[in-house]
Amino acid sequence: MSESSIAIDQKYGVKFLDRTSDNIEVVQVKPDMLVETVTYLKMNKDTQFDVLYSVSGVDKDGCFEVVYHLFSTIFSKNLVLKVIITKNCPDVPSLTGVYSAADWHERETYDLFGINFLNHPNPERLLLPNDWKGHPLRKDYVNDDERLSWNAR
Amino acid sequence: MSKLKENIIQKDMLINVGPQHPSTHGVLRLIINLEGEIIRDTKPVIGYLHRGKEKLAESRSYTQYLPMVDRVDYLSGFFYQAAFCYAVESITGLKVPRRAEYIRLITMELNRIASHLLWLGSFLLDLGATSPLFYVFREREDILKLLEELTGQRMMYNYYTFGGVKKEIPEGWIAKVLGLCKGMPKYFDEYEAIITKNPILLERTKGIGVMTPELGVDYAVTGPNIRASGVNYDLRKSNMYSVYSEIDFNTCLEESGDSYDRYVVRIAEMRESVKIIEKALAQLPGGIPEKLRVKRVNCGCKKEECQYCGFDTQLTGKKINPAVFKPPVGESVVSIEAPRGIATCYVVSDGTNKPYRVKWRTPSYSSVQILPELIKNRPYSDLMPIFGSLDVVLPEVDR
Amino acid sequence: MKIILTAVDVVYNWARSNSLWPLTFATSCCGIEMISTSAASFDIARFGAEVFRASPRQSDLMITAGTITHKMAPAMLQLYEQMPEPKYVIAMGACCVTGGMYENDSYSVVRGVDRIIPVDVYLPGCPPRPEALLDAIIKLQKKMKTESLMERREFLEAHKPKVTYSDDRSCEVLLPNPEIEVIHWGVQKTGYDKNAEVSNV
Repeated sequence: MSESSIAIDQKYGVKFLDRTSDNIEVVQVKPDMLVETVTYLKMNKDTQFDVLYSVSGVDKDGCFEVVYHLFSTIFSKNLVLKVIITKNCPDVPSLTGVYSAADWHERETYDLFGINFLNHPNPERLLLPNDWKGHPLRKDYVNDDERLSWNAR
Repeated sequence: MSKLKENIIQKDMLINVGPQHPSTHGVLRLIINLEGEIIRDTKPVIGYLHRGKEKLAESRSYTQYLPMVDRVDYLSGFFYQAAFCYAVESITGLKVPRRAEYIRLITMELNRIASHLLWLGSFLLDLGATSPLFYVFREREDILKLLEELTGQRMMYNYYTFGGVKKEIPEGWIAKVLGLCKGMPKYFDEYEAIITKNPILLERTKGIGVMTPELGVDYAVTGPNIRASGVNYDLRKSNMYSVYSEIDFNTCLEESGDSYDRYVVRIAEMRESVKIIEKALAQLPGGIPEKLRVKRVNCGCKKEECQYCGFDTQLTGKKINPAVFKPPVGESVVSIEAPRGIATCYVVSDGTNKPYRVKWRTPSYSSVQILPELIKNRPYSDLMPIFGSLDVVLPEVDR
Repeated sequence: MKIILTAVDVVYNWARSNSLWPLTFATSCCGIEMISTSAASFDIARFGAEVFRASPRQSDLMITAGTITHKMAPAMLQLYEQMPEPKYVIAMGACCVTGGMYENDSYSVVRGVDRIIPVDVYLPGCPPRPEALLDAIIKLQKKMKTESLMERREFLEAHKPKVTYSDDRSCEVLLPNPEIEVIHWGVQKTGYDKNAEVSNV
């Protein structure tokens, strides 16, 4: 953690990845330590990341990345957390206990990518109709919903 | 869900404020559990306008995606274009000349005024007052005429490009903007005279829909909604993107966080925006375009630091060729203070001419998410003051 | 059926066309231009269409302004079915005419509103200027003035959608008439117990 300016306790096993183009730090967290790490980041008075403003997924070659964007209103600092999971078993613990804002963001990520958030209070589709098949933002998505017949003349 | 079932059998009523309703916010569906007239539980259903903007980015090149960015939130098109342009410029390392930054700032603030004006009209229309809508559209048409002269379009501008802006300011435009800025505070006083001390408005919005700072920050509510609760969270001051560091203005804060304060904050923000535009026009590098052209011809030195021919008075930094524009591998997160809150664009690039992933985080998403908390245990007639004061635009939520 | 325009028809059509009442159906960006048209600078009240009704039962013109997605289409169809005849539709904006900029590869946009309801006037633009919307209303008024109601009924019969019930009708939007069959659409399951509500209907 020598390159990071945010002091995260070594016991959380956090790995520093690199910086984005605007000099925001990107840090990788293991899925099973996610909830503890985020609680530490929220409560610790040196970091105090009290706003989770985005949860998104990225479909990379061979793995899924779940990207969390945190912001601290006290210090005006940004932080990006990444959790890398496999495509066979896309399970990540849910952060709804820590931030209420994570509720809909995680539902949307499930809707568009198929990533399961464990212990989520309401894991339903958010943006697409409830009986939609498939997860559109995956790179190998093929649209074969029956409503496509409306587009045929 | 089983709690809902047992409530139905007793005495509660499940009503559906359907996707089509007379308010102007868009297609939102609320399934409300009513006991008499008190709202017990709400479930918002969104997705009626989900067009798949994030997936569409992956099959279009960067410049082909720019016109679609305006339509994410059509009332603040400049802000979303700015977010996308800043993100891509940051990955590529393009520098933006200061004249272009000032033009971007002026157009963004004009757009902020237009968006707040429309919010005011539709908020009061929801409460039942129909005349402010006509007052408000009179001013909005003036602003849209100016922007149409500049960009060619009334609402979906498509004016920014990677590295700057596309066209020079037309002749006489700056004088017209200054004339508008001089007349605006008088119009705001006109609105305030009929709205601010109106007893019906005070009864319906004071103390209604109180959002405590902790609740707002927990749900990631940003923008005027959280500033009305007292949290000083304004990206124009803390992050200072663009050239906001060179312009002096006040952040508008209120304390109690009810619907009335959200109204007061937005009126104050409109007045601040007018002052920002006047100051920015006074400091525009290069000044009026006619004089700049003459001075450039007279000077003719073509040096970088020259006041008239240098880099800072150009419109775009480096003219990019859209056919071969390929940013390097990387990712970037840019946040912009849009009229409704903080809009974030997260761009992942993999070295080809099409983006790999574009993610939009929009401010109305959090506002709709916090709505069930704010209207719990309130009478049904409080739904519209609370929902209207949160300033939600549904295409932003669904993308 | 030949076109027979009697004097009664002329007066009747003139009265109907100069007092069109639109339905507030604004989904997206074109909705703002529709509101601009009804505001002070481009007054739609001078054409008789000032009263925007919220309820479909009281309106006779539906201006579909904005993108229609697969999730919204059944709601729009139900609104159209609830409007009393004679009813007219203006498809406003590129998204309603052919799907607009989403026509190429969007997974959830209906390519043009005329795949679902019959359209009288197509109005392209993204968004069309308020003057263009007024032009569309004038063209619609001209169309109304030269038609007889017998022909209109045939036109509407030819476009009635053929839809089928799904077996799993767990929806909470009350259907207008159980004899009319309904499109199988993605309904929201909220645990609403159909048997508990039957007594209230």
